[in-house]
Amino acid sequence: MNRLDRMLEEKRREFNNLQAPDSLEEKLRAALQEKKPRRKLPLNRIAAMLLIGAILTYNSSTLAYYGKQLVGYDTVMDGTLLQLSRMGEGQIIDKNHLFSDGLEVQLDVAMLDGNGLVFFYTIEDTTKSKDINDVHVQVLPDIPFMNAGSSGAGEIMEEDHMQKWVFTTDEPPPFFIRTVTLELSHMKEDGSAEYGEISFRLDRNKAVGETVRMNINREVELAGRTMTIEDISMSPISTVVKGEIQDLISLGIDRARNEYRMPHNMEMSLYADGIEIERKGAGMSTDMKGTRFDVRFDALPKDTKDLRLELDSVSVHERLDMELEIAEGETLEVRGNEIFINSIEESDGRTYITITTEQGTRIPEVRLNADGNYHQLLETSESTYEKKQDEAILNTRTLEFDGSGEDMKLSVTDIRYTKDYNLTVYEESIK
Amino acid sequence: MNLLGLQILLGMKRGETVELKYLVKKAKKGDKEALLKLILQERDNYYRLAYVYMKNQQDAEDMVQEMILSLYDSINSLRKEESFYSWSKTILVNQCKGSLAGKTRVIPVEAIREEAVAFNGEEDRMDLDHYLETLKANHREIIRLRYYLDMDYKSISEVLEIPLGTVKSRINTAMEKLRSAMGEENLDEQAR
Repeated sequence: MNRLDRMLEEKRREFNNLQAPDSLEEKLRAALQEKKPRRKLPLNRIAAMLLIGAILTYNSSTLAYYGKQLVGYDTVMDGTLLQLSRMGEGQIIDKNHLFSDGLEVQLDVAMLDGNGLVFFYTIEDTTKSKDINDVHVQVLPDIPFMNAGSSGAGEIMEEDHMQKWVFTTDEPPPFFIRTVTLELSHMKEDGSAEYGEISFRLDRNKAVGETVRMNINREVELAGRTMTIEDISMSPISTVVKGEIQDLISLGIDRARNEYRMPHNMEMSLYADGIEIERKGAGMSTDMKGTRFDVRFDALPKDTKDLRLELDSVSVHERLDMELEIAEGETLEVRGNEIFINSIEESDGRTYITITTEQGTRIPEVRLNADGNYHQLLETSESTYEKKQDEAILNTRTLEFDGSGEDMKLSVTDIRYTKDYNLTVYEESIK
Repeated sequence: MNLLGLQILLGMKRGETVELKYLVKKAKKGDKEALLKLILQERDNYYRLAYVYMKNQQDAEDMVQEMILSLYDSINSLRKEESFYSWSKTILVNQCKGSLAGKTRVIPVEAIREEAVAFNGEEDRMDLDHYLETLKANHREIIRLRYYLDMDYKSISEVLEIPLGTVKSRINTAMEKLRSAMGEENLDEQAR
């Protein structure tokens, strides 16, 4: 074996032994959880015109009562859904699917409004022999022309051998959809999967109340660009704020320049008559229309008069290319974020730089330029946190680089930070 | 008769194919857990592939993370479910390259050549990567995929989306360049 073969073999062994860190799974899971569910495919112009019709349809829907209260879901539902169910809102479905091992899924009620479709279903072990804690049935709505995300919460009722679930889609089905199907997949005790479905005809006359959409059209500066908070949509089930972070053209220009500036979290607060409305979630998505966001809150109380929406903060991920001279006791500024250099120490050919930033500021891609030679970041030490008098939290950690030198600079190619706004973006008195 | 489909089934264990197709279908419908399961089943391979390009843990993890987010957005464009792994790895490779393209190339090639020459006398102290840095990016890449990751020609062809013949010829050229960069007199110890 010649020297090159030996070196290649060594590399092969080295990579064969390389294992993904344990942290990867959690990182991927967290990233996916934050990810806004996909949106439906862009519709053509005719469909878009039909959608306008859909909005009108929702607005003309009348309140309906089915004269039977939804029982057993009290602890699964949040305040608004509980109230609606007590008022008898929604469409009774009362259909079920029985799996071969005796597990039954019963779809009790569906509630539709302009912000989404909510399902109430029960999973019951009719054999009463299984551990209901281990029972897993995945329920996914299969609605043509709709690719919205969904979220749900369930409760296990051990004594009754049941699970009760409330499940919401992020968008209502398109107006021309009459039949909705729930696809069920059940992983059985022997490890095999069994599938089933429950279909029902959507009765739009039983849609829950009206959905009111109000324009906001407030532009806010974000990382050198303009973000638009477009509108707020208020339905009996939820309140949704939507807007655009970046249009398609600007997104294309960024891609061409290999630039990247993207918010990954947005904090907003909604107040109805001065009382904060619970935030349910937020998401962002990029599609043919550009990059858009939505932030979801609980429904507004019935007699809300004054509404106030505040933009609290936006967390941004930005790729850049900066070289910064460093010295102990100095403060660097990257995109408006301060990085304080506490100390620079050298030991065994390595350089240890201790920095302090605000809690939300991270520089995951950083290298050390020492006398013109670049050294990789080997490790970041455990962080310590300190609360300032103005409530801001400071984070101190040590970056370890594989090399040292006299003239040192930090090369920063990626930064993640949180920009605080604390800005009222919409205020309205509802008559 | 779908010969291609049959071939794929014969090439994989049937259970694996069915599970792969099932999970991809679920992922296409927006099932995040299904997508996660697909990735975690091959987590080491994704991580190694990203590491080959990014050369450090954090960047490699970030790239796998960016890949899963891209897959979530674009999985509906995947026509053949059984091609999920080669398709996703192509996306990962492109993301790594995109990320690296955004970074400044920092080591002048001439400096490395000089360093490489200086180390010729102490052969094993010089890491193979230092020699590789003197090659063109596509030559570096193909050597790392073929020899570091032990990928076969077909997999390389699928992931890089280049013809099989190009893979073979590029590997040959890259190896010649690498031998030349290392200095031929040091190559074959058995011959000396």
